[in-house]
Amino acid sequence: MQRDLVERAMAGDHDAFSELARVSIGRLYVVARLILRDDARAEDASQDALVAAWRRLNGLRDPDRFEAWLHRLLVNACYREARKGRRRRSFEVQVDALPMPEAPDASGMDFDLADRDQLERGFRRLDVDQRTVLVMHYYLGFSLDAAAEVLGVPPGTVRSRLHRAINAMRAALEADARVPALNEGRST
Amino acid sequence: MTSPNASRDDFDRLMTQWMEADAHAREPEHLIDSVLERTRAARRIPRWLLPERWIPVQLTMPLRGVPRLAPILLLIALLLAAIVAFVIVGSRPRLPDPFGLAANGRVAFLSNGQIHAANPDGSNPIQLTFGTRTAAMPVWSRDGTRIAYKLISPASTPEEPTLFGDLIVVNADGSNPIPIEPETKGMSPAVWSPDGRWLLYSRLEGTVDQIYVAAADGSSPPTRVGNPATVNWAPTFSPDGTKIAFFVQSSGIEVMNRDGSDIRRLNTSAFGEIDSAQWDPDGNRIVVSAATSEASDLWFVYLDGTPERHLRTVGRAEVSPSWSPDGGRLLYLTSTTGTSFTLMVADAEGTNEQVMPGQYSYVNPTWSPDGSRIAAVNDLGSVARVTLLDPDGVAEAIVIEGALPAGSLIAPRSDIPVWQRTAQ
Repeated sequence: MQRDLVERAMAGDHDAFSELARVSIGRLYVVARLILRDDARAEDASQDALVAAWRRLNGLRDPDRFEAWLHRLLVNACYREARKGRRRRSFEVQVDALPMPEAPDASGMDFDLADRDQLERGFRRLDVDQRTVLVMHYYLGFSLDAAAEVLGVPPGTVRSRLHRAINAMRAALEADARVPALNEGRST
Repeated sequence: MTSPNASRDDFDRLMTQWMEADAHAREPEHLIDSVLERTRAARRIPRWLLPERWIPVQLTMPLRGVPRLAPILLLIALLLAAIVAFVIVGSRPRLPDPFGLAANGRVAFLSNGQIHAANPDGSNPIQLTFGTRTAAMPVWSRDGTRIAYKLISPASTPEEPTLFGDLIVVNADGSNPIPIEPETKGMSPAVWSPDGRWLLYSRLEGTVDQIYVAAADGSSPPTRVGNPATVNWAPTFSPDGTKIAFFVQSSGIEVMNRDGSDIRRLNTSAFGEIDSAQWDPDGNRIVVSAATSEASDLWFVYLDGTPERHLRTVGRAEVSPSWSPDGGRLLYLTSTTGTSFTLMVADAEGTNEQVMPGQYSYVNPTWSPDGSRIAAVNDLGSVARVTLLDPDGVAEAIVIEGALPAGSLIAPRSDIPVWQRTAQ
């Protein structure tokens, strides 16, 4: 079914592409949001990825690889958004905290809200390369080969990037854990 | 719970659960509408402009030359070694006529991000371009004395690594580089005028493709030709160089004089996306592969106002048509799947088609300048095969195998000679 849609979209059938976009957009948005940690940028990235997919469909060689190819476009779009984010950073000012979205049911999870905040802070400290490879590994469940195809790098590079990302995440968590201890030390 | 000393299994489980918990957000409702609105208005990038058709690239990496070159070099070496079996080495000072049969000269190819040329037997390879910037889209002049190419600019983006570049002309030995136009955006492969005086190409002006004619010796700035109110792209010179055929907003093919005057639409039927077009060597008609409501089909469109002729086939697509150098035969790819293609050779009217053996990729097959062979590519797998076929089916096909990164270029558009034309 999907192959048929992809082939029709490759031939210029916009209705077929619309169907593919409707099926894919939710997951693209979620993945972009996980990588970028920003709703607006995730929206831009997932939109840019789908527009690029339509414009570049002629470059797709194998319709069965559409999903991997689309993820590759999304990762590129996320990198671009992240670069924009770096340029924006110097203009950022502190604002009141936005209201938190309703948290999903965390029953059955091995962590609480404090852990979640700690993970969030640690993850945000990683660069976009590291965040991307962690999302591919832990959320999308990609194998090294699949991640390598999407990232356009050899599997060995993905392995080392994942290793560094995990170490960096652990280091970030460790640094985060030290802060309350230091604060406790100062207050006594 | 989030102790850095947690075991790897604990850490893995924690990360997975955290991401799954964080992935409950739904995309905004307006997002799909925004996407579809933008895609309806967006023009598809033509296949031949996509970077993977020209240089092997890793789209997520910054431009640092061309990676994974050893397989390409191996493949090129094999290709050159095999061609010698039937190619006459052209080294005579006499120049060939701009159209029609010619002897097979040297072969230009991309290696390590630079243009090289070698004799068909692989001997005497010469690097023609140098530097840290990547060269792409080499095109021989019709007399084989010069090469026009695109020198990729650092302004290109990782997503579109060939978006910006300078148009350069060099002599066949790489000497005397002449800048024609710097920082072109979205430039199509340059097309030489038959007399070698002009270069023709389309490039983006803002977001609209426009057509430019530039003096090939750099003596005058490029001039825009055609209607600036329409999207015009993929221009080609007529065999006598007096006219330019081009595509308009993916729905039509038009022709104009070389100075941009007398613009005329050639097709009356509604064309969808146009795949490619090539002038008949006699200059009276153009063969076009254009999408219909059914599939991509071949059409003959005529310069004298005769209604176009639809070479309709049921249940299959025809793409990448190419006249033989003498105009006596028509080559094209057919497919029922969109991925695997069959090579067909028909007579000049598109009849008496013969099926060539083998299955091939959607990479334009190329005639040798002397018309004795067709180079077709199958690079769908991890091993690319270039097959050199005898269009008469007499001589045995030569199959060259070599590892090839996906997306590498072997044979570009059939109207862009990779094989240099020399006098017979």
